[in-house]
Amino acid sequence: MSAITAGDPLIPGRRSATGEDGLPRENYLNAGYDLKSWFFTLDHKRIAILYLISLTVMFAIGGFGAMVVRLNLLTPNGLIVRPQTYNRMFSMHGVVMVFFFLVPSIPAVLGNFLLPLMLGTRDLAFPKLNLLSWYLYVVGALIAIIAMIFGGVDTGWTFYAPLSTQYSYDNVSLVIAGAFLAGFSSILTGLNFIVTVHKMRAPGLTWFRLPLFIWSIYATSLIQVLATPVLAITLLALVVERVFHVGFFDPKLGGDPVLMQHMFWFYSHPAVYIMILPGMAVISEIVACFSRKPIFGYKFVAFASLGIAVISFLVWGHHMFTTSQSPFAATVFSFLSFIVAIPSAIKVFNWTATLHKGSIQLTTPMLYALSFIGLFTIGGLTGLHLASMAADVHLQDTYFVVAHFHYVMVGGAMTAFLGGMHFWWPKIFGRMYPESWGKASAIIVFVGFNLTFFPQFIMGIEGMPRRYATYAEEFQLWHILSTAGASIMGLGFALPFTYLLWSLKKGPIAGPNPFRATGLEWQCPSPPPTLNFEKIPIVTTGPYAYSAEGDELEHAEEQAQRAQLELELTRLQIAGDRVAEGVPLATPGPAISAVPEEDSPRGV
Amino acid sequence: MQTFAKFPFLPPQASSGAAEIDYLLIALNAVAIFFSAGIFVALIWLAVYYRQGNKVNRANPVLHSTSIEVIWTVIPLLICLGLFAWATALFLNQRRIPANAMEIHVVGKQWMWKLQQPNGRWEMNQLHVPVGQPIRLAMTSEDVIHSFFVPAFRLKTDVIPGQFTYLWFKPTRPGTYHLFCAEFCGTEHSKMRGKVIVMERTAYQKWLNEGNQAEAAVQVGAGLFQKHGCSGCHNPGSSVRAPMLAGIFGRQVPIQIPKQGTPLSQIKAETITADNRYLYDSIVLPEKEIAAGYRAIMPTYRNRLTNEEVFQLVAYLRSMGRADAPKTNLRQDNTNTLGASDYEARVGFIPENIKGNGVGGGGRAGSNVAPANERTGP
Repeated sequence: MSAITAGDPLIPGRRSATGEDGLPRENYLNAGYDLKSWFFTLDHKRIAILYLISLTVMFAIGGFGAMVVRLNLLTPNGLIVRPQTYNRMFSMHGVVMVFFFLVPSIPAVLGNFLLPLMLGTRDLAFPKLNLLSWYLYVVGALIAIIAMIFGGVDTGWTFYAPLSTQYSYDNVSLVIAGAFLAGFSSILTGLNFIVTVHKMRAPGLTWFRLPLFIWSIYATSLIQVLATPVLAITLLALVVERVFHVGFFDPKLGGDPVLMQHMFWFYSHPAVYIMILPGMAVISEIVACFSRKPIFGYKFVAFASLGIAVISFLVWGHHMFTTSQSPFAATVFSFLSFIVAIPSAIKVFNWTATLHKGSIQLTTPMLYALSFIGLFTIGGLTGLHLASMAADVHLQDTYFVVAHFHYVMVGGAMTAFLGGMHFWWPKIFGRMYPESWGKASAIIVFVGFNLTFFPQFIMGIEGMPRRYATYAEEFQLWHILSTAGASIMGLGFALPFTYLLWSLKKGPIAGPNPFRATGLEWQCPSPPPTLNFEKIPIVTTGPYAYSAEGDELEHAEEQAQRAQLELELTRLQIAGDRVAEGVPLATPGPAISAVPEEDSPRGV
Repeated sequence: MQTFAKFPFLPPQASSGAAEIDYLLIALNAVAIFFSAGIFVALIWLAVYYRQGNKVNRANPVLHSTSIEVIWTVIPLLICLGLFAWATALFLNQRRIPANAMEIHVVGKQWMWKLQQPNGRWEMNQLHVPVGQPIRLAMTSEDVIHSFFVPAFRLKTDVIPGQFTYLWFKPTRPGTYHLFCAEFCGTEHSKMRGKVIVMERTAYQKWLNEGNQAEAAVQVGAGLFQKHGCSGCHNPGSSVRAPMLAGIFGRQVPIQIPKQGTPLSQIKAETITADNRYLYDSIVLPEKEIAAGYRAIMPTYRNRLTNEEVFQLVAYLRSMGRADAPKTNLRQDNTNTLGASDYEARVGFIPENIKGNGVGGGGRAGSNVAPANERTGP
């Protein structure tokens, strides 16, 4: 995006603002070091970092649950834990990963950090609300974690009644309270984003000049604000029934257990899109940058996000084809579930078409993005199986469903999160991650992921039910493959954790725009100063002012220069050797003042 | 037909509907594989061909094209609509239960299945069925939600407390197949597994007459009807006036839904179908819907009967002589403007509180009429 910025960090006068370590002398990271400066910060970037740290902890806890589950399933009768523990572990995995990792992940970290930068503004509309949302999240997470350490919860993340209200002896109410608070955190984030996008765009930044990241995050925020209250109502009703025996869902108290499922999925199906839409947001930015092209069909992609947000509210009944839901209702839900596949398909086709005539660099973020597109395609297409009522009757509650939503949630949302973290890592911390390690991690995650979850499709079609601590012997081979894949994937996740930490101190200085990307966020220094922009930028064009052809020319020029340089170096070396051999120097070597720095930022 | 549609990873086909589901699954797999493979090939080819530095034509890239967008919107849409139509037709078609289906009762409870044959023979975690005979499972749960899943039949239906759900199938191939509980139901959920044993008819007949014999649900229900005093009020000629229950199942019955603070006599009556839900609720939650014209004095049997017993009572009610039902032209519409004669047609007498209200005015029970104080209901 081209924009006029008075405070352009690249103009010579600003160079002196660079500190001894090569990072900008004043940035949001060194704005204060005491705890107060972090825990009472109103800076959206610092709040994003707080979220990043807490989310990483939650991911580790959720991952631990998955590890126990996968290890236990190596043998048909359970390798390491009893069914009670197994049930608590898969419930912990689900609760933590859904409510405390995936739902907040991209919006709370990348969204928080980037939204004001991309909009060319100094902060979100309500900075205090933003901080409050983090506190709600942390308190909710702490309550849930404590409840899960001291007793656990064994209902699955879906809390189906009456199991959760009348039959479970575990800490169901506490865990629900945690999810309830996390829900409010989500609502506040969504509200903040909506208002910010409406009211705080930089001058000239019209709706159709917004990066697709903003469109997708905006659609996500709409769902968060509209759907999450229903989750809150549902969870509250569950606790009231559990504690005070008021009959909402248990038929023995006069309630209806299917009602609970309707209410739960009224939130939780849109929540699937709360998790995947931000992933799509990230992918649009990465694909454009590393294809050096604007996203194909910008408006179609933008409206596909809104289309998904709207239709996602009308498909929840497809989780209930095997309950007593009426055939008429089931038919309508099935129809709408097929329809919601279309906007997702449009996005996939548009991303793929963007590559055409691009100048493609297979960097780490791009590898993650390509792997997202492929895996999300599989996840989406297997959703058609489950939208088909006749097929769903066989596949519902089997590993097919598990594989399907992991392809969307892990292959999609988690892959996008990692891709986005790599892409904006230099912006957030001012230092580059190690590229070859990054590529290795992207490939390892891809391989491990497919080995983990593809066998689960097969198991599911064969009839292996989900949430089984023990299982029939014929499924063992698939479980072993799946566990092997999970180990590889675990390594793939551990790698970025390690080298990204390493890069905080040792990574090469990135400069404001190491990828020569065009978003407004790349026009301020990395890491950005507390107020982001010295002067609010004025936007004059659309978001993806890339040119693959121009980039190729530049690239060719650079290659030619580099070849020239190598030639000169060789010549010098030969000359040097001759001197060493005692041969007198004939002519002085050419000056090498025009040597281009490799990977130097070139500005916008 | 069974051998034709055989995908390498599908479980055995042992029911009449399985092959059709398999065709659908194969088609869905084909669509998924075709488009995934297409996207993967396109991504890899484009990423390699247009890699930075590769000397290829990049001139005049297309940045948007409405016609291309329309093409790749409409084609997936048509495929989706086709799959939707196919899957829905199959689903609705397969839900139609044949009239000659043999009913087997299923009760799920943590963590076992109890199954009872029409002659009363019951078994735990095993279901014996004769090959070629349509079977209809009438299922309920004692506690939490379970789900009855037989992969070889490609069928699954949730088993829900406080409700009856049905599942029907026609076994086509003798053999032993998995029975799984598919809805997470607590600690030993994964142990809630059993077998479905499809037998030849003669072997089944022999099996049927051995082993755990118990009275069939209908007989047990008849016993409970006496034992718990239902017959005291609901039998013809009893001293307390309560609705007669012969032939009640499936009939349109007038009810009043009580409202706090409003006398029953002033509440509009409406008609509903006396289905399983109504019969179940009338036993467990009698205060929820009152048979129109009766006093709300029936006690709840919520904690006095197990779910299975309620189920047996309902089975008995359903079996009660439909022939005894008054022969009248029942109105088919569901309006709540019932006249005195409509009431009479349904319950066999004219309730006090609508007497004199005239035809068509029965829905609004006249406020000037005293409530029927000697009647009890439902």
